[in-house]
Amino acid sequence: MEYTVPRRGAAVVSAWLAGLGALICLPFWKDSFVSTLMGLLLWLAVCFVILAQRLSSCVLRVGAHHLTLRRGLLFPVTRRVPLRFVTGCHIVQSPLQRMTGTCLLFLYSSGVTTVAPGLRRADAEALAARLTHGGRLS
Amino acid sequence: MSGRRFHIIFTLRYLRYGLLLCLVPMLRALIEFDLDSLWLALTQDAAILLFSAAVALALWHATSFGWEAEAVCVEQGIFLRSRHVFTRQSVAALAVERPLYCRLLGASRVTLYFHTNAAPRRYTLYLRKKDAAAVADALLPVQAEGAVFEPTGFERLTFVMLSANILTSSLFALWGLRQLDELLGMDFQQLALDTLREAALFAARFLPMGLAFLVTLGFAVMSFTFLYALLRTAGFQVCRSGGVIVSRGGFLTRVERRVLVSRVSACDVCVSPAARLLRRYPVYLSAGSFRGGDVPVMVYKKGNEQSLARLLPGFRPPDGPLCAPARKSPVQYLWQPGACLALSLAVCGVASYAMPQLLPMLCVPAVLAAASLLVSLEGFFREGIRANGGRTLSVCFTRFFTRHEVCVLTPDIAYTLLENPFSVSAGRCDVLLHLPCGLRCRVRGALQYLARELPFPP
Repeated sequence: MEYTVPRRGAAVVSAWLAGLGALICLPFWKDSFVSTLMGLLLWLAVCFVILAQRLSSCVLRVGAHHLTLRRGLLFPVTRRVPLRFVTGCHIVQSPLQRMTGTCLLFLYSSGVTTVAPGLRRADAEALAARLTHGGRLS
Repeated sequence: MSGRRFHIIFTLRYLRYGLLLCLVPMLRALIEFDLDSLWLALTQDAAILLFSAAVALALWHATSFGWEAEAVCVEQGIFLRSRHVFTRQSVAALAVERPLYCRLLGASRVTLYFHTNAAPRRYTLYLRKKDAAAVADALLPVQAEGAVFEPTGFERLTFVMLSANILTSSLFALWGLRQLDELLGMDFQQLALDTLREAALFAARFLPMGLAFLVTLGFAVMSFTFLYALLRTAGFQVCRSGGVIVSRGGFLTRVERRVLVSRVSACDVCVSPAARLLRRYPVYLSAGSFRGGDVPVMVYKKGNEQSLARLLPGFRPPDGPLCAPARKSPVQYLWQPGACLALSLAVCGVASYAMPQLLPMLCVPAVLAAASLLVSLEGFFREGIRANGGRTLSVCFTRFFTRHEVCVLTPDIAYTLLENPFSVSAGRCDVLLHLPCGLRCRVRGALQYLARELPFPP
């Protein structure tokens, strides 16, 4: 079973960081408009080009015994977690994510928390049901 | 047995928050700096303290606990009542600590460490001494005890030296000086600095000025560190009783730790510079959310691994070599210490003709960088990961000046593989091994095709 992150899900998560950057820029608009604008545009490019690409490259594979999450194109990161030690799942949705039908999925296992950002809500629910045996953790 | 109260010392935990809140009115009084504001701040502080004391007493009154054959039950909360049941199966380790202030009041602090990271990961109870012993026996019972490790003579000295932690001891010393300043109203920090300066002046008769201060500071820190380690490890003894490892020790703060052998997740042998010199290696155990504490569970002589196997039968040294150095990148291991060494040597070179009097002091970072380079070089040849016949996992990695040899005994682990364009083209990757206690072991330059198929021990 394989799940991927859609572009809209990655864009929503990137928009949070872009919004945070815009918020940090607020005190600087009055004194140096041009340099702040340039900085903000650069930050937006980083968020929507580099980060969104990285997030949308996220692939979650559920095998017979372990779960593999791989993300990143130039600097790939692969995580492997044994399925029988997943202690819980957590699905979080912001208003924008409810509109786009995506969510954040947190998977808890001993020693590490794995985050799948921007996953489809339906996929996340199916995955959570499978990992927790329909809500009953083994 | 049920319906027993915590020790009254439990209220101190909540009074601390009240003391922190007291700082707010005092800060305002300090800004306005007049008698009226001071009086108002003192009144407000008294009200805050009374309120927090009342809340703490109410919480203490509402908290009760009890124990059965294999479980401990805690009820707490005033408006929102909660009930926790901690069974023997959920506990991986526990620590019964008795700091001096607890001993004076007949209390013990019991911390339970659980074997999964489902909340809570640990839980602290403040109990009477007898209750603490009963709770410990209910959760991790100990019957006949046979001492496995009890350092005496030279072994005791090496144990103290290998238990010494400069960072925690220095923080403890700074915290202690501040507490003394506040309690006695004297500037002990200034007094300590003056004494250090005088000692440095004395050392300057034999050593260059800058180096004299560094040597004096290092000597003072090391002396305090050893004194602190000596107190922590006084009367230290490790026993094995059935499936439980029990360690006891401490002079001012008496600590008893019980670790369930079947829940031990990893055994870390730390080969620090001191361990190399003494040819004795300290061993730390982790179990569930328990990280091993600040004192090693035992120290064994080089080549005497069977003494460790006596304590932990599941321990296995690696079956074979952990890595293939020919496939590794020397640059990945050596660039950081190499750059530090080059920079230090360049600074020394400039100082040799511009400021020769500073040269001895500037040689210290160069020596440290050279030592770090040697440790990294050793890491290049030894760092790696290997599954031992599918039963355990052997991991070797270096961090700063220490080489860690870890034997992983649990399948409850996770791997993260980190790659970059250069490592991908060479078929390598870095492996992060996540242990249940939250510790991470980073192995650099592992072969990609092996790392992707790394097994989880059964």
